[in-house]
Parts: sequence; C-alpha cells; structure tokens
Amino acid sequence: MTEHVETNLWLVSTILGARTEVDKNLVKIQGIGL
Amino acid sequence: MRPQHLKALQALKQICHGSLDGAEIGSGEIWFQPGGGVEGGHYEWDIGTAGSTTLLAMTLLPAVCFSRGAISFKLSGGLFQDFAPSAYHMQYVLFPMLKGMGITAELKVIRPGYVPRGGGIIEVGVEPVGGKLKPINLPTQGKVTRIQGIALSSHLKERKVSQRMVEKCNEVLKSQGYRADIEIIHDDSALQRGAALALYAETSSGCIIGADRAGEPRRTSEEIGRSVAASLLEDLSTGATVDRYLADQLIFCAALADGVSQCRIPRL
Repeated sequence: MTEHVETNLWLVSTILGARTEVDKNLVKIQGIGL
Repeated sequence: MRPQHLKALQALKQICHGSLDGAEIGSGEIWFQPGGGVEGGHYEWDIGTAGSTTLLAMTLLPAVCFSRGAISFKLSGGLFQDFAPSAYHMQYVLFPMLKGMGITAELKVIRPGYVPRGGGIIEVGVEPVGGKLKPINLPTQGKVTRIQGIALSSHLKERKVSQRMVEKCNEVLKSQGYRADIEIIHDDSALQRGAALALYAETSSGCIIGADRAGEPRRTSEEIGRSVAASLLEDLSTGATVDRYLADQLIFCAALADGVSQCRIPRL
C-alpha cells in the first residue's frame, strides 16, 4: 500500500467518519452518503 | 506549503465562499471553514509556477461535483511532472472511472506545461451530480481488452522523442504479450521542451489501469518508455483493479458515496 492510500484512508475515517477496511489488497470503504 | 497548495486552498475558498487563515508559502498549519455551498460558473486560476494543475483540480473536485450548476475552470501551471497526477491520467483514467460513480467531468489539455517554467493550461468541466454519489465496485481485474496511450513531446520532433518512447514501451509490453495503440503528439506550443508518456489499459470487468511518466533532463526516451510499460505490467500482475495512482484518488469520492465501494490496489 502506498503512503497516499494509507493517508487518505486515515483522513476519510477521521474527518468524514467513513468506515474503511483493508484485507490483503482489497480496500473497502463505507461511504457516508453525503 | 508550496504555491500550488496555496492556490488550491485559495480556489476552494473562492468557490465555496469559505474562510481561510494562516495560508501562505511555507505554512505548516492552516484553518479552513467551508462556506454555504458551491455555485456553478467559470473560474480561472494561474499557479504562477510549474506547480501541478491536476493537484489543484483534485482539491476542487469533491466540492464542485456537488455544485448547484455546471462549473468549469481554466488552470495554468504544470501538467506533466514527477510526484503529481498527470493530466492524461486524470483525463483517461480518473474521470472515466468517476463516471461510474455519477460524476461527469472532462479535461482538455490546451497547452502542455513542464518543470521548470510551467505555463501549461488545462480546462476542466464538471456537471453537478444532482444527488448522491454511487459507490464503485471493482472486485476483479478481468482480462485486458485494449491498451491505448499518448506519447507527447514538445519542441523535440527532430529527436524523435515520441517515437522512441513508443518503440521501447511496446517492446517491453510485447514481452508479456501486449501491444498498445499509442497516439504520437508533436507539440510546438509549450514554453519549453518536455515530454510525457501515458498508457491506459481497459479490462473486461470495467477497470481502467494507467501508467505514466514525464520527461526530465538526462532521462532518455527509452527509459521513459521502459518504465511506463513496466509500471503498467507490474500493477496488472498483482490482480489490482486500480493502478497505483488511482488507488488513493478514488478514496475521497468513495467516502462520500452512498454505499460500500471496493477495489483491489497494487501490492507494492
């Protein structure tokens, strides 16, 4: 995983409250439905 | 903070009528308060250096897709350089993938711009989403159905830079059974010499996986062609459904979407 992916996942989780999950190379993001 | 970061914040402040404090070149901390929404219209911003125009566009995108009307902006600065999204990747990979999430955006390269002089121009148009963003679902890569690309060089026609990038790129791709249809562009409008090569592979499951690299002094055409092909092959070999650049770019829109998005990122 690149640093950009790691940073952005942290950011959307912290700022927007989106739930994120990484399993091996599969990334899942539960959007907030803005 | 660099000039392109500052201009991105100022542009965001302008379109959403927000407030911004502490923003200046070199700032380590800023305060940004969004305003009451984004109106449609046309805007123009000049970074004033070779700072990345696509970085500016990326900053604005999550806000402008929720605007009350169609919005367009003309950005001046750098288009092709290391450590920033390339204009072609945004045009041929990011924007087509965002279409599936309900975002209609298009990009036109008006004039290429390179380090150090910049002076490149892109025009970006975005239609309002008019509702919620749809999640993106990319669990499997599928088979590669087509590889296309662009080999751009400015003021370098006599050195056959575009052709040499294409030849080396296809030589490497051929070793893995692929071939790319690459458009060759000889540009004379840029403020300086420069070059860029971009590839984008479409797959049977709806993925678009890209790779690109810009020229640099003492970076040969062959080196660019080889590295772009190798980057694409490496990402494809991991079973990824997004390339190493798209992986982080989709995250913001996925986080705003109504539902669960999923994709496979390259294991690097």
